[in-house]
Amino acid sequence: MRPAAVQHALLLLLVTLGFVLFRAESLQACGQTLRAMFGGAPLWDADALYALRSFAGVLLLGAVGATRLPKWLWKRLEPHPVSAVLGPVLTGLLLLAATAALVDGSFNPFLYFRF
Amino acid sequence: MKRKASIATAAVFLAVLFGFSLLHLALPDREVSRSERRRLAQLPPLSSGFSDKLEEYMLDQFPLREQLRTVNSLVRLYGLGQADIHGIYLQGGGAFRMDGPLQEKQVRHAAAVLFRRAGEIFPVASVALCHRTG
Repeated sequence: MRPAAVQHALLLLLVTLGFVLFRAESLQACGQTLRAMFGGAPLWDADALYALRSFAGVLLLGAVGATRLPKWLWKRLEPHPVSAVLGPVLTGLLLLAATAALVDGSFNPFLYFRF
Repeated sequence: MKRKASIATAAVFLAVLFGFSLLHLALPDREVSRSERRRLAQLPPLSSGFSDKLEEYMLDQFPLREQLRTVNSLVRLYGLGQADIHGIYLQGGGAFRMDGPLQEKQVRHAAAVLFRRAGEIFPVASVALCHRTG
């Protein structure tokens, strides 16, 4: 049995590699991206640093959101009566923000059409 | 209490889901997007490539598209601290697009072409101009 941390890292690696295949416009583009990921491109450049800084907020939010922290926080808040209002309102706002992001076309909502 | 909150959450979700479908049917399709300065996709005829065109149509004619684009820009700029939206930067009360680096070779080429043309029309003046600018 492998240690949990190694298993976790392996899973993340597989998800990252899998998502290249999923996201690529063509098999050629997929190959290019994979080559760049495995030494075919410099480790970082000005563009990469800029993108990392610009998307730091969303990356951080995603990383924290992937842990058990939000659930733990919500469990603590749930007995409070305000949660009955806060739950639906926050869910609705999040759904609206996600819809707005899809509409703005930065991400293709019909990703599955590519298969 | 918990049950009511669950029902409310489900109601919000259904309202958004069906609300936008109904709004799409109720609102007329738009011709152009002024903020993007482009024509919007229209309902495609049934032909080859229909699903691709339908995808563009659905995205372009999404109800309240302009407002939702604004929401997205606000969330990204102020909520997530993104530096630009589709390559547009806010700086000192204005919105700017960053241009690529200056291609000196192309500028020289364009200048050379311009001077040659000018030389065909005003032979003497262009020689003087070329001389002065190098």
